[in-house]
Amino acid sequence: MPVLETRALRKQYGEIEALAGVSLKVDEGEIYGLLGQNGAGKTTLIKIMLGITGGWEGDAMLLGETAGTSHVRSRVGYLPEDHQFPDYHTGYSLLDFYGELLGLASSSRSELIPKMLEQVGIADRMDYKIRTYSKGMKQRLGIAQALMHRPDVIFLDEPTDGVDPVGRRDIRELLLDLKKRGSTIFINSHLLGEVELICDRVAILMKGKIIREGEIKTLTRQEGQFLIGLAPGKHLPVTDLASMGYDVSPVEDRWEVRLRDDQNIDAVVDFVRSRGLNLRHLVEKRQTLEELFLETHDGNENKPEKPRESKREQSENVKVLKATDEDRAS
Amino acid sequence: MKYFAILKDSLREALDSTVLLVLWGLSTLVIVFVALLSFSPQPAEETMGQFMGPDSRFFYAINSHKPEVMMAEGSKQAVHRPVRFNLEKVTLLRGDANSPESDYELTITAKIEENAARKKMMHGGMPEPPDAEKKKLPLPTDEQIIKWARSPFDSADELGLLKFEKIELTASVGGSKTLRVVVLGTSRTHRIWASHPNIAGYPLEGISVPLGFQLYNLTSTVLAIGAWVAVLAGVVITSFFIPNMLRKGTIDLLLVKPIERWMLLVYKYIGGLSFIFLSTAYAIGGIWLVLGIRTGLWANGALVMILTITFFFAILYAVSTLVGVVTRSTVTAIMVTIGAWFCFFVIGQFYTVMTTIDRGEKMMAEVGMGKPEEQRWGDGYIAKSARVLHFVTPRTGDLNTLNDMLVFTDFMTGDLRDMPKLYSTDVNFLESLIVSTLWIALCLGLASLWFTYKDY
Ligand SMILES: Nc1ncnc2c1ncn2[C@@H]1O[C@H](COP(=O)(O)OP(=O)(O)OP(=O)(O)O)[C@@H](O)[C@H]1O
Ligand SMILES: [Mg+2]
Repeated sequence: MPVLETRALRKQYGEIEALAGVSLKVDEGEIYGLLGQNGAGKTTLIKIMLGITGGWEGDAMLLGETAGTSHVRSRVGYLPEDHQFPDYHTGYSLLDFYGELLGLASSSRSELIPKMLEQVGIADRMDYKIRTYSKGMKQRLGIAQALMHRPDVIFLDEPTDGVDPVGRRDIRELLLDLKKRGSTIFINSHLLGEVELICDRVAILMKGKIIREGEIKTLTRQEGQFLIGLAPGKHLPVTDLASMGYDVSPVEDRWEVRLRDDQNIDAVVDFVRSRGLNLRHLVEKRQTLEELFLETHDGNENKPEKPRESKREQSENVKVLKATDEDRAS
Repeated sequence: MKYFAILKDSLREALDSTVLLVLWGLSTLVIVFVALLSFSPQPAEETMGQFMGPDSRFFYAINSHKPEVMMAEGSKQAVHRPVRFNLEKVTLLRGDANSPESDYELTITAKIEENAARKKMMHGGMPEPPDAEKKKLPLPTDEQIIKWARSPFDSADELGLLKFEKIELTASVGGSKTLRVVVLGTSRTHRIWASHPNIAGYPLEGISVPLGFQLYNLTSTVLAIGAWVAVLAGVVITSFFIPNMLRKGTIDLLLVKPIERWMLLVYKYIGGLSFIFLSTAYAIGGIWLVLGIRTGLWANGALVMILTITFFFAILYAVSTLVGVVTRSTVTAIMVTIGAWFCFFVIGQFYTVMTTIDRGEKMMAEVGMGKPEEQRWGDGYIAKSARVLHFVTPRTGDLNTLNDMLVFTDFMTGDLRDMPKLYSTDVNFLESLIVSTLWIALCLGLASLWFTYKDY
C-alpha cells in the first residue's frame, strides 16, 4: 500500500486553481521530490495531505487514511516553507513544546531533543531564544522539529533554504539515514542539484498539473544521444561516420553521437569495431535535472494543449549498452 | 499532557511580553502597600460611641448596602421629635479593659430635642417638615426611645457582632432620660471595634470607624481599581495569543500536530484564563495574607473573588478569542474587546437607571399619582429594548456587585451566609451566570467553527 496517494486531486482558492487534478503515488521508503515553478501548487499539495487546507476534491490518502485525519499526524513530520517559530521559545523549549503536543513522553523528549539538535548542528545554541538565531540556524531547527519524533512520513517544503553547504550535506545524510530506517520523505524544492542527489523519484508540477513524473534516472536519460570513449591516443573516424550520415562531434576526449530516428547505435558500434578500435566507454547521454526541468517547462509553455508523449514510450526506444554511475554526474 | 503544553507555551509567551511583569509588579506594590497598613484599636468608649443615634456610625456602616433600611430609618424618626443619644460612661463587667471579647455596661443619656435641629438624613429621608410643624410633633414615648436606642445594638446582635444583653431606663428627668445597656463581646466583636489606620506606623488623621468597615472600604477601593487594571492588562496580554498563534508559518506547525483544531483553540483559551487566574490568585491571595497577618481578620470568603474576576475576564477573553480568530489582528482584538466591555458596562448601567425609573413610576402609580400607563417611560420602547439587550448580554456589572457583596460580608461578619442580611440586591445571580456562560460558549463555539473550516 502506498504511503501517500492522490487521485484527481483538485483545489480551488476562489478563482485560482491551485491543483487541477493531481494523481501521484509515493511508496514506503521512497524519497520523492516535487518540482515546479512558484505558484505551481507544491505547497498546496502538502497542506492538503496534512489537513492544513481543506475544501479539496478527489482522493487524497496518507498512511491509509483520508488526508487530514488528526491521529495519523503523530506519525508525520513537517517543515513548512517560510516557517516562523514563536521566538519567545528557545530551540530546546520549542522542540519540547512540539514534542509534548505530539504525545512524546517527557523522558523520551529529554533524550531525543538534544540528540536531534546535535544532529542538525545547533546543540550549542539550544538554550538561546530563537530570535537570536540566524536564518540557517532556524532552518536547521525546522528540520529538527520535523524529524525529532522519528516520523514515518516527512514533508519538507524547501528544506535547505538558507543552509550552508556543510549543513546541506548533514541534512542530506540525515534524510538518507531516515530513509534507511524506512521513513518516506516528500520534498518540495527548487534546488534541483539537491533533489537530484537524494530523490528516488520526482514529479514536475505546472499550473496545478503533473506534467512529468518518474525515476530521476529515467527522466534524465537522453534518447538518441550517446557518448563514445576510446583507449587513449585512439581516434574515432569522424569523417567516415559523417559521410555515412551520422552526426558526430568531439566533446573533450570523447565523441558525442546524435542519432536520427531511423539510425541505430549498433551500426556505429559495429563500424568502430570493424576499424579495430575498442570501445572503452559507451553511455546514453544524461541531462542534469535542471536541464530536464527547463526543457520540460519550455516544452509545455510552447504547446500547452498538446499532451507530451508518455515516459513509457520513450524508455522503450532507449537502448543502454553500458552506464556507469559516474556518468550520471557528467 | 497537551493542555499543559499549551498552558506552558502561553505562559512563556506572556512572560516574554513585559506587560505581565508590569502586572505582577503592580500587584506586588499593592500587596506591599497593604502590608504597610496597620490598625490601632481604640478605647471601648470610642467603639460604643459608634452606636449612639440618631446618626450612629455603626448603623450607617452596617446598613450601607440596604437602601430600604436607610429609608425606613429616615422616615421613622421624622414623625416624632428627634432624640439625641450620648454615651456617658463605659464600665467593664468582665474581661480585659478595652478588649473586644469583654462585657461592658454602658450608661447612655437620651435628650429629646426641643427645636429639632436635626440634620437631614443622608439616604432618602422624607422631606424635613417646616419649623412651625416641627414644634407640634408629638414627643416620643419611653418605649420608642428605648427602641431607637437599641436599634443599632440589635443590628449588631443579629449579625453576632456582639451580644445585646439588656437595656433599661434608669432615670427620667423631664426631656432627659438615662439608659443602661449591657453588651457582651463575641468572637466577631473585633470586626466592629473602632480603629485608627496607620500607614507604615504613622497614624492617618480622621475619625475612627469599625475595623471591618474600614477594611471593606480599603479593599473594595484597591480591588475596584486593581481588578480594572488587571483585567485591562489581561485583555492586552492575551489578545496577542490567538493572532500570534495564527501567524502564517506558525499555525501550520501547530495544525499538523495530532490534536483537533477546536481543542487547540479551547486549550489556548483555557491557557489564557489559567494565567489570569494565577495572576488574580497572586494579587488577592497576597492582600488576603498580609491583611490577615496585620489585622487578624482572615477574609477567606473574599478569596472567592479570584473566581469572579477570572469569570469576568473569561467573558472578555471569549470575545477576544473570537475576534482574534476571525481577524488575526491583535489590535482589532484589543479594541473590540474593550469596546464590548464598555458596551456591557453601559447596558448594565442603563438597565439599572431604567429599573430605578420604572420602580419610581410604579410606586407613584400605586399612590395614585402616576402617569397613565402608556406614557410611562419604564414601559416604553427604549426601556423594552434595554431590557432585552440586558437580558442577552453578559452581566459584567453583576459580577462587580457580587465582588462588593463578597468583600463587605467577609469583612463585616466573616461568614458569606450573612450576605442576604447585609446586602439587598435584586440581581438574579443564577440567571446572570447562565447568560454569561452561554455567551462564552457562543463566542468559543463560533471561533472554533471558523477555525476548523478555515484554510491556512
Ligand atoms: N491561502 C491561499 N489563498 C488564496 N490563494 C492561495 C492560497 N495559498 C496558495 N494560493 C494560490 O495557489 C497557488 C499555488 O500555491 P502554492 O503555494 O501551492 O505554490 P508553490 O508551488 O508552493 O509555490 P512556491 O514555489 O512559490 O512555494 C498559487 O497561485 C497561490 O497564489
Ligand atoms: Mg511553496
